[in-house]
Amino acid sequence: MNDITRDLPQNVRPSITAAQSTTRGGLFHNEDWWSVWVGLLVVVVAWSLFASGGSIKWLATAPAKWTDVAQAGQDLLAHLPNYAALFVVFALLFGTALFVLKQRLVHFLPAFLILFAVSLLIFETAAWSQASRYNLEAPLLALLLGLLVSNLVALPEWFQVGLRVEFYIKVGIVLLGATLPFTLLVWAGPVAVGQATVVSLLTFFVIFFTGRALGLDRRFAAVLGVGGAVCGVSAAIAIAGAVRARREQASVAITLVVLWAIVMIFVLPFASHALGLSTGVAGAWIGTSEFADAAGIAAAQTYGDIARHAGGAIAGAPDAAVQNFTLMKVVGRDIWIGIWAFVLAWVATTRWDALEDGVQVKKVDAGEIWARFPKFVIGFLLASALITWLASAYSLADYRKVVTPALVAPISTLRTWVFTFCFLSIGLTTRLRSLSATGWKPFLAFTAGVVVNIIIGYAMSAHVFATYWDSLGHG
Amino acid sequence: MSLAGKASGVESAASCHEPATEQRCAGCRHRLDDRRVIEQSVAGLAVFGSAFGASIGASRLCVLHDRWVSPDDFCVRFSPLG
Repeated sequence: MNDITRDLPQNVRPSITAAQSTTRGGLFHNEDWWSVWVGLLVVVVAWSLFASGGSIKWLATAPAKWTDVAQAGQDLLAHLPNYAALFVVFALLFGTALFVLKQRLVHFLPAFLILFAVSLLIFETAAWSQASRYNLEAPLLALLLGLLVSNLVALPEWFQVGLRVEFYIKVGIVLLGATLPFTLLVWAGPVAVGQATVVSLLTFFVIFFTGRALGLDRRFAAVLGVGGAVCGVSAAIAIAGAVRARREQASVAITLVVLWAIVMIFVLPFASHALGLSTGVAGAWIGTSEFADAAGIAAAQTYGDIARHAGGAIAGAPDAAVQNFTLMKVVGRDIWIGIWAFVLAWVATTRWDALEDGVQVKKVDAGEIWARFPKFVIGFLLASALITWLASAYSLADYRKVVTPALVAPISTLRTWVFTFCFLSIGLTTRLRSLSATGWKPFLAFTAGVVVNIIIGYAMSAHVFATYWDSLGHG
Repeated sequence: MSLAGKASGVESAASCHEPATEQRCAGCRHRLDDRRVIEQSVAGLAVFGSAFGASIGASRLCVLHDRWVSPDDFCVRFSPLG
């Protein structure tokens, strides 16, 4: 082993063929595309069964409300075949994707079995009639349990293969698309983009210039800035690659995103409650001010669950929190990551100092815009368009009476399962000791952006566009 | 795992001439292409992100410079794949 490769994990070399390293791509090469295929396959199968008079209701099972443990036990036993079938279907879908992505199935399957079983227990706990009194909402429960376990117990390496946070959240977002009317996306899109653009640009420049004032390298400040302004870890990686940042700069940015994102999962729902925000406004605020899709969905779903059990004390439909979060975060912020990467790559190449270690950037490629585009958004839009087209044949009354219970509600149940896998995986992958030491300068720069982001995001969601987000929440 | 130290002693000046295609990072043994190892090498990456997603594009880690590189980048420390 030479001096270059000796620090890498065993059996791993940076040595593959040149052809392999540069020409791979296509529709099965990353988790984004697989989330599209998995999500759309579920939607199409559900739709086909619905069209032939059936439904996926039998498969899309979730624990019923219970008041005593014996009742919960009976319900669990009665539905064991449903849960077993559900596990097989999820394992088949996710396993196929991860197998093609060269993950080890022999590790994934047992890891996913554990994840599924614990998610079921979390579902059961959240179905307790008194759960809301103790804030035992499923997302928070999954997150806290995961955090506790991963920081107290050394989890085996093979188990990590089952903890695919990003993959699960992307599949869940595609399924979410099937429950939102396409007209809503078209109508909400411009406002979401407008609000997100203002907040993203402000946040980026606050972090970037604070970082520069504190003496941080331009590339580092840019990675921190976009990590805080656009889509968290994905943005940090995209921009680190685009500006050729150093590895530890990406690590520090990611650490700050993870820490603040987890803090905000708890802060934003309870702050929204304290401020008396409707579910629609809270969803837009969370979408503007959370740093990662998975963290934002956890926060928005928590607020939706709080509203569901608040007996009408919180205005708006419970599902509006996740709906408006997704419109703001996915449509308003995530889709611009390729543009950010391209622009910053161009600025870094043409305006900033050359890299001190002699790495030369040949060219800035506009293909970056598409290469880094979050493809799962396409699945989200297609799923929405498909269900909207189907629903157009029904009157509103028939849609609520026929389509919702047999088609939309079961897809929503499957989505909730996938989100629960995601929330549990967040906790189980967040090992605080393994995160990078950030240093106070990056921390200060990023935190300045967090403060601006929260305040401007709140002002725009709860004041400037409050009526608009409220109206979506009541729709 | 400390990759940072590997960048020490690297020549500061690169060739002004563009190398042939086969001499770019894509064909260099210092470019770490295994996405599982990238996730293990960047603290926190798998918590809210992924090396298997679209956002990483073709960017990969150069273990010599401890820096993100693209396939068409190059430097004087190019070393062909074994």
